[in-house]
Amino acid sequence: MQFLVDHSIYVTLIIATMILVGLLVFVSRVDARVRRLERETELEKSAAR
Amino acid sequence: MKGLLIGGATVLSIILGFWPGGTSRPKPTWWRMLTIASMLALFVLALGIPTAGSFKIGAAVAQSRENAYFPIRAIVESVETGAVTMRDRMGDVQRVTLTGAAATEGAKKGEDVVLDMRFDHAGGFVAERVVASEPIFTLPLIPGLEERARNLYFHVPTAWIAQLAWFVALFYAFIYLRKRRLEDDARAATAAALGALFCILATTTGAVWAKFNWGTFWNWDPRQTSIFIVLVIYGAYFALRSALEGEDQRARISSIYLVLLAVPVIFFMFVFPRMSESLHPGSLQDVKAGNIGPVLSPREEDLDPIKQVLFALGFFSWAMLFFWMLNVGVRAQLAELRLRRRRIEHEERLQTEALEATTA
Repeated sequence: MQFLVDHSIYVTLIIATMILVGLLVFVSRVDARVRRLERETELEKSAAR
Repeated sequence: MKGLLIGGATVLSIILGFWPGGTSRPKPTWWRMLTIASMLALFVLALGIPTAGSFKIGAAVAQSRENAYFPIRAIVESVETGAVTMRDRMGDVQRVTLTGAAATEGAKKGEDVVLDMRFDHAGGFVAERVVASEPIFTLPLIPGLEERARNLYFHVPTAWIAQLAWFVALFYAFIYLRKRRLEDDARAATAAALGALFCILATTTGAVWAKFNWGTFWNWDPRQTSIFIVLVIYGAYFALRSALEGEDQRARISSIYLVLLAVPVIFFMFVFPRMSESLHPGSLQDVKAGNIGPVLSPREEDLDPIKQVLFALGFFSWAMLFFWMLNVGVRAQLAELRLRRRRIEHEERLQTEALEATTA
């Protein structure tokens, strides 16, 4: 525990990196999937017409 | 100035969150790049700007912790063999012995430098390492927090976004109750889900902070208790939604819930922690001293100027990330809603055709 206290900046760095990178990667991937879904929905709608 | 900076950044992020595209159209590339760039800038600045204090603060750190190291920023006034005389920003002049890497690198007269030091009761200040030379900015060294203070730029904005998310959910709940469109309920539910996520992030980063600073992850400190209650309120919202059948009933009752619980959420986020004595900044003892919290306090001196900029950037970038996630979540829900409606229309059409065929 004392090791973590003495190197707390690195613990903060690791936690912050994981949260930040995780969120950005997640939102980018979901954004790409939703765009694909929207494109397919539009194509279906045009085909139905 | 502080209000303008932090308030302005928050307002700007809310405006950019709703424009362009709102919550139902994809955000343009420049908007997404701005969000990523601001998050990266926060990350680099919050973790990269060196921390430095004065000799007086260094001595306070040394008194509280045996053999503690602390960074001090000062200008070299004179150089001698194995030591330098330095003047810090408070005007305090001290002789500093150079050892280890600091002795190897040395320091020039007139150089503005941040040195990692410890306090030797026999020999005074002893510098072991050069942290930065001629730094443009430094963050203030806070005794007892030191480098752990960097957690603030992640912890505080996530807590504020948890509150912002509730306001956004509340806004769409009002619109649903007026117009009865399921799309608005989808927006409210997505905002609430993100609010719960940011609440969990704020609670987690706060608990890690508490472990390092207060010795335990959780001790039912009033601030910890209040964020836990807000988390329970968010959780109850989803429990309520999952218990209700029928889209319209679910939308109506959960919107009413958001409206009714708005005041308690504001109370637990902003009022309750300031009514109780706590280890967290902005508690009753701080309020009595005229400081309602470093960010909310109107006094400029309650928050260092560099920290004001970092908090402004933090609120802006985390709010932009929230609005991006909201946009993506709402679009996914609306696409699902459209597909569901189309399926229902298709089934109804098939049934009608089958009925006509039978009649014929």
